[in-house]
Amino acid sequence: MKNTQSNTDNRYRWQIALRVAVAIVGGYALANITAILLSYLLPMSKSDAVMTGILLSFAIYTGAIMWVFAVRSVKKACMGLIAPSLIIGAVALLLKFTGVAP
Amino acid sequence: MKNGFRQSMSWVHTWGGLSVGWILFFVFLTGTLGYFDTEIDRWMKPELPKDTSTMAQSLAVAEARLQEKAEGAERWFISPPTNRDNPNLRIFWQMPGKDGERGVRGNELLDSTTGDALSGRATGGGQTLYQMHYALHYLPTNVAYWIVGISSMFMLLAIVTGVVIHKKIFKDFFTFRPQKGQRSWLDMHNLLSVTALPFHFMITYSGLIFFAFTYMPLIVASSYGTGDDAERKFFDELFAETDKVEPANSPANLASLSAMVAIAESRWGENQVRYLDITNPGDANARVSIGRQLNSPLRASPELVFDGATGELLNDKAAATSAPRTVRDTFLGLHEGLFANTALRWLYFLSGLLGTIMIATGMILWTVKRRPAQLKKTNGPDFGHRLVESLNLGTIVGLPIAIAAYFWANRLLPVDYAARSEWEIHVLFLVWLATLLYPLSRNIMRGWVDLLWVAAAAYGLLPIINAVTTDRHLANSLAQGDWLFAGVDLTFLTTGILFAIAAIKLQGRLRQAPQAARDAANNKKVISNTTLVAQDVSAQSPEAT
Repeated sequence: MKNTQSNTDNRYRWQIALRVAVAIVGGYALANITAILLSYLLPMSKSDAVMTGILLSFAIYTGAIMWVFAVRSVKKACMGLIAPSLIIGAVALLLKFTGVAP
Repeated sequence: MKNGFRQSMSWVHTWGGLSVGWILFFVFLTGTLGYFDTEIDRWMKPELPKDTSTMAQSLAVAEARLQEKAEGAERWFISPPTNRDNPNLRIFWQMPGKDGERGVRGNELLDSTTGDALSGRATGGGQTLYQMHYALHYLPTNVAYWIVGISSMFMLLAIVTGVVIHKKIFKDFFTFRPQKGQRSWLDMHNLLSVTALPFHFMITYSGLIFFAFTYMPLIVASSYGTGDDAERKFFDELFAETDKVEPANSPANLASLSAMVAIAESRWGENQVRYLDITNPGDANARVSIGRQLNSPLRASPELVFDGATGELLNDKAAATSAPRTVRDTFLGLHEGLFANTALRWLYFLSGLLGTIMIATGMILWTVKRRPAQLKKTNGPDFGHRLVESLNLGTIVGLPIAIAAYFWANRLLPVDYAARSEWEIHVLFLVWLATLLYPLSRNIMRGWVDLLWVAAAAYGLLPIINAVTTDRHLANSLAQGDWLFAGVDLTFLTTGILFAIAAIKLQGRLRQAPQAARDAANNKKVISNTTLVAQDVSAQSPEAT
C-alpha cells in the first residue's frame, strides 16, 4: 500500500517535471517558429514584420505554456506543441527556400 | 493534469509564482523606486546646486566643455536642464573607436553658470537602484537579463492564469474579510491584483519587450542572418537611421547651436528642447538632431535634424513611424513613464508598490495555507516550508531594510572615501544577507515582529540622519519650499510609520493568540519553539480550528 502510494507520488513528480520541460522548451520553440512564419507572411516591410513577430512571441509563449498544463495527458501536451511546430516550421522553411521569404 | 482547467491553471499560478517570487519582489521594488530615480539621485548628492541658468548659458557652457574634453569625437550629446530627468546640465561624448570597436565614452554634470564640472559625493544614487531591477548586481549583464526575463515570463504567466482561475473576478474584487487568516490574505491578494491589473500586465509585457532582441534572437536571425552586421542592418532599417552620415574628414566649424535651438523653440515652444544629439562635431558632415520633450507615452521624441556645418534645417522627423515600431515604443514609454507629470508619477509609484505587495501577499498566502497541515507533522514543518517562510521574511521585510541601509551608507560613509559608491551597494547586499539569515536563529513569527521594527527604525531615522549629516534637513527644505528634498524625507518617514503600524498589529495578534497556541502545543506535545509560534497564526484562521 505504502509502496504504491510512493510510486504514484514518483510518477506524479516525473509527469510534472516532464510537463515543465515541455512547456518551457516546447513553448519557446513554438513561439519562435510561429513568429518567424508571421514575419515572412505579414504584408509589411521586413523589419516591421520581424518586430511584429517579436512583439507577439511572448503572448504565443504564454498561451503554449498554459496549454501544456491544461490538457489531460502529457503525451497530448507534447504532441500539441511538436505537431504545430513541425508544420509551421516546414511552411517557413519552404517559403525561405523557394525565395518567397527574405 | 489535475481535474479541470481552473485547477490546472491554479497549480501553474501557485508554483510558477512561488518559484520566482523573491526575484520578482526584488525587481518590482527596485523598479518602483526607479520612478523617482532622479529625485533619489538628488537626495543622495545633497551638494549639487539647483540649476537656474538660461538655455543660452547652458549651450555655451556645454559646447565649450565638449570642445575642451572631446575634440574630434564621433558624438556629443547635450541635455539642458529643461526637464525632471535633467535637473543639472549634462554632457556626454563618444570618441571614434578603432576597427569597428566602440570608442571611449564620458559624461559630466556641469554648472551652467561657472562652466565647471559638478562632482558632489560619489554615489550610485537612484540610477544604480533602478538599474538593479533589470541588470541585478554582481552578475554579467547578459546573465542578469536572462534571469529577469525568465522571471518576467513567469510573471506574465501568473497574471494570465491568475485572471483565468477567477470565477467571479468582479465580485471577489469587492470582497475583503479582515482578521480571517488565510481568507484575508487571499482577499488582499485579489484586491491588489485586480486594482492594478492593467498596470501589472503592461509593466510585465513591456519589460519583456525591452530585452526582446536578447530573448528572441532567432526571429531576427531568420530574416537577417546572424552576426553583428546582420543585427545592425535590422536596427538601421527598423529605426530608420536615414540621417546617418559618415564624417567627410574635412574640418568645419560647428554652426551656432543656439540658432538651431531657436528654430526648434519657435516650432515647439519654450523649454521644449530635451536634447541635442551631435554627430561628427567639427567635421563638414556634422549633423545636429534636436529632440523634443516627451509629452506622450510614445518613447521616441520628434526631432529636427540640422546640417551641423551650415546650420540648415534638413529634416523634421515625426516621433511616430511604422505601426509595429510605434507599438514597441509606446510599450517602452509606458513602462518608463518618463512623460509622467508629478501626479501621474505618484500613481506609477503607487501602482508599482501595489504590484510589489501583491507579490508579497501571494508568497505569504502560500505559507499560511500550508501551515496548519505542516504543523500536524510529527517532526515539525518540512525543510521546504521553513525555507519559504525564511526567504519570505528575509525578502519582504529584509530587502526594504537593505535599501534603507543603502541610504544610510550614503550619508554615513566618509564623503571623500574613494570606494564609497561601491560600498553603498555592498552595504545593501550585506544587510540583505543578514536579514535572510536572521530567521534561522529566531522563530518565524517573532522574527517578523523584530524585522518590522528594524525596518520602522531604519526608515523613520533617515530624516534625522539626513538632518545631522547635511544642512538640507526637513525643516529647512519645507521652509525653502524644496519639495524634492522634503518629499524624499517625508516618504522615508511615512514608510517608517507604516512599518511600525505593521509591527504593532502583528505583535498584538501574537499576544492575543498565545493561550490557544499553548493549548494546542500541549495537546500535541510539540516542544519546538518555531512550531509553537507558528501555531499563533494558524489559530487565527477558521480552517485550523
